[in-house]
Amino acid sequence: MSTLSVDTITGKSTSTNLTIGSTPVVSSSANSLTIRGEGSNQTSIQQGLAKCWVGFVGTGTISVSDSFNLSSLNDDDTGTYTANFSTNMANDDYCWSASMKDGTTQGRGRYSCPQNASTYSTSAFQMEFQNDTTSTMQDVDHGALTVTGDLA
Amino acid sequence: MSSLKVDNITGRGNAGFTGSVKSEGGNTTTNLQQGLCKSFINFNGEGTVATRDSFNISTLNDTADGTYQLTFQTNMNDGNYTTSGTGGDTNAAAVIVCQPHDSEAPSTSGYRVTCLQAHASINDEPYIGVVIHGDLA
Repeated sequence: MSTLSVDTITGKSTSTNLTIGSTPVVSSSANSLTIRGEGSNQTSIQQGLAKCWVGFVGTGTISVSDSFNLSSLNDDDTGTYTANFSTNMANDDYCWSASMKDGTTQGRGRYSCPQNASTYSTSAFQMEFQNDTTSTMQDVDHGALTVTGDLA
Repeated sequence: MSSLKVDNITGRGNAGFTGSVKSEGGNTTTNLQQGLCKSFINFNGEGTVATRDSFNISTLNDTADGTYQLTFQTNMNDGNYTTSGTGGDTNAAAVIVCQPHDSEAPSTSGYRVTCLQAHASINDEPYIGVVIHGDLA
């Protein structure tokens, strides 16, 4: 068995392939790496990566529990928050999903949604959390969101 | 063209392999580990619960109506990871909310989710998907 120990591996061009056995597992082109998936097809590494995720406490003085690519989280209003990226997205067409819990009483559903389309930008977006029963904005005890899309 | 043939490629530090990849826009890089989903599951939560497909899930238990306990194969580093969930019903008009359990915080070894229909009660649902991002142990 041989082991290669290095700090950096650089392809000679934008079309470098990493092959194990006879199977190309990683292929590259400009700003794009593809990897062989669980079957026989290739999938994009960049497109499959989350570009930002945030876990936060949204009641009282809000706090971020853990995050990736988040510079700050603003408490704008009741149940309304703005997430600011550390590194900007390439456009405002990215996708985000969220979940949340509130208090200790089961069955208190919450919806999350973009505040409105105009709040999407390459550097930030605003979101709101709504009480399922009263259809009013409400702070969440625990909020979580994930962003996928194109990084700048 | 040049080719290099080895069995293992390792980083030289104690951190092991850490990767960053060029962004789609080409102006920056993004962290490979931080961007990777650490667990996902698609399961049928009605009747005898059944996992359709999953990654890094060891067990799925039906603990109560619309409430499920999931356990990781490989633990997370802390309980601060993010959960994104969605649920579907055979009733096309039903709106399903899938969220972390109200009274049980996520732990390093697993988490509990609750599914409820909009303006209704907690219910078992046939189509439930949850994705986890965060720090692996």
